[in-house]
Amino acid sequence: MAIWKPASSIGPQERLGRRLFDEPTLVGATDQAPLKGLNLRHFRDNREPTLSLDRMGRTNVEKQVAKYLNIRGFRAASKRKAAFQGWVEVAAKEITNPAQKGAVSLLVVSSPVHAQPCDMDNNNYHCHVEKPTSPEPYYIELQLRHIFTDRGRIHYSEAPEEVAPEENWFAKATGYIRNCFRRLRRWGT
Amino acid sequence: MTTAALSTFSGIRYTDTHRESDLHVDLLKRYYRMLVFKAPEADLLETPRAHQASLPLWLEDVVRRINDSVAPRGMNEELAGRWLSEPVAEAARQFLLKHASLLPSEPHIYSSADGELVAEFQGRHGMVTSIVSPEFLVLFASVNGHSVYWRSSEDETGSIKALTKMKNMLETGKHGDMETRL
Repeated sequence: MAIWKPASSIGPQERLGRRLFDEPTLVGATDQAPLKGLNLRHFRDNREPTLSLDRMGRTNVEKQVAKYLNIRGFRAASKRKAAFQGWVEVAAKEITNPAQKGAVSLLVVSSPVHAQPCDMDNNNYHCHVEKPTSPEPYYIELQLRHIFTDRGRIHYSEAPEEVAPEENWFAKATGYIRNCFRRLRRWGT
Repeated sequence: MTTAALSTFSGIRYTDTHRESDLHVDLLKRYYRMLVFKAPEADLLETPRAHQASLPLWLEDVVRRINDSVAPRGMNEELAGRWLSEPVAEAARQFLLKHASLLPSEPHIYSSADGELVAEFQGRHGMVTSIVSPEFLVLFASVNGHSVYWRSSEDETGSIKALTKMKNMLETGKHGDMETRL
């Protein structure tokens, strides 16, 4: 079955995932019990005022899409120097039209990444939440965490398979010629 | 502890007509001195048991964690979630001392992306999150799918009122008709 090609508009049932990376702990607080829940730092991007998400499937997380995104998650983790744990994912409607009274409806925009020199940095399934400036940024971050905690599911990452180096005809040919020269040199001595 | 001993330790003049409520304030002051200035812990042990019981047992551990996480001088550029600045640590200690009796449990603490202190308190029916900085205080409670948000203003007593409501929500699991933003 072919991999899902997402449309430019995001459907209400689409599963949107926020990547989870290991977050730093305070140097003096290493002896405390682990946090039961999601760290607030997961819901902040350096690139304010947006929050990056991955479109993980039409109505459920799709295996092929998860595989495509998994390797990108590990690549992002190596850049951040933090372990990649997986995603917490919810239906798009929970963000765009939250059920809770008083919660702010947020806009989710499809924003695929295509122009990066390395293909592993491109992402056909990228989208982002537009964070409004009012009410305060912390209100939006806490609301997003509340939605992901209350309505979301954790989708753990899988260790990426070892990618074999590509067979390159030029490398093969130069290797063959180099070997021939070595043999000739040995034969001469 | 005698009033003379109290005067010697804290530098405050005490009279013999010291009332029970004043002793409570004294205890907090000395506790604060112990935690902030790392005064001898033995002094705390001499206080009446009833007063000791009013402060949660985890308070000392949490303040120690905050003290141990204050960045040494010259490390400000490398905060990045592993260190706290001295003003943030000071605001966090004051918050904990002021609201200790209203906080539901020992918090899990960490630094926010902007360097504030985040403290997460687990209750029976949900969680209270506080974000503390010298400039503001944010309180957020989520109880059975319902959330309540409060942010400090000039009103000093507002945080106590908000935390009292949040504590009741966490204990009973009921949010009633509370506004989403207090």
